[in-house]
Amino acid sequence: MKYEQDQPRFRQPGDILLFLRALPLARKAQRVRFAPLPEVVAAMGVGGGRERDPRRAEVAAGRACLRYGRWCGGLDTCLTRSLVAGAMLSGHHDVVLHVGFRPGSDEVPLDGHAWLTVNGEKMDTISPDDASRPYDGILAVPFDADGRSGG
Amino acid sequence: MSRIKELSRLLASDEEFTQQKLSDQTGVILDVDSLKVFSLNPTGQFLVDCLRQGVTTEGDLVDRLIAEFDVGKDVARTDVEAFLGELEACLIDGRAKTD
Repeated sequence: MKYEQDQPRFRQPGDILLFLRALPLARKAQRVRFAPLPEVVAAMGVGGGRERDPRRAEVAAGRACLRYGRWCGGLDTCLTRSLVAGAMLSGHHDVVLHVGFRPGSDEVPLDGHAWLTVNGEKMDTISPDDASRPYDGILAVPFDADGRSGG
Repeated sequence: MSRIKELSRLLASDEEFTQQKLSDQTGVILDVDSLKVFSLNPTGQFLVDCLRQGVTTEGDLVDRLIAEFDVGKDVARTDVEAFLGELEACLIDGRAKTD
């Protein structure tokens, strides 16, 4: 899934700072095209995160991935956004990256998605839950609190 | 190790590949390293379930397929043979090429 829509405008200087922190993480997240996901998560988390508010991290991750995609042709997907937000939050919360699937439509027979859980709670405003068609998780990769992936 | 035993081992280990049955009885196999996805129709998902449960002979797979679906033995044998060939190409040969 590729995201074309614009993110909301920056509202305060802190948002710009968060964006600037997220941008290099968006670049790091591009490794997912070449490297196994657990390795990418481990590389993302090195140094731990600085942002404590999941919603602000998610918005910053979205902005960074969107801009990186436009400026550098990188991936802007639910997976890259989750990687960036997970890295930003990993120092302060128990963060787990999930990959799941559900039956698709006639045009797309299979629908895949990636999302985070933060302290056990699903954090997914990119594709809010449709209770009638939930994603079945197939892979869960935790970010360790010290910045390393538990695989 | 025979082809079917190797496939059974790969699917049961959940280390290199993870597998999930979906709500419409289809399924997905995910290659954890490459994030390649293999989709399964309900028959394929049933055969994968059998492999994960430890069925290690094509004859047993054919028998289970006949018991579960309204299908003749010749068709079941052909389907199992074809499915195992495709699964091997995805899970074993595909990996060998990318390693």
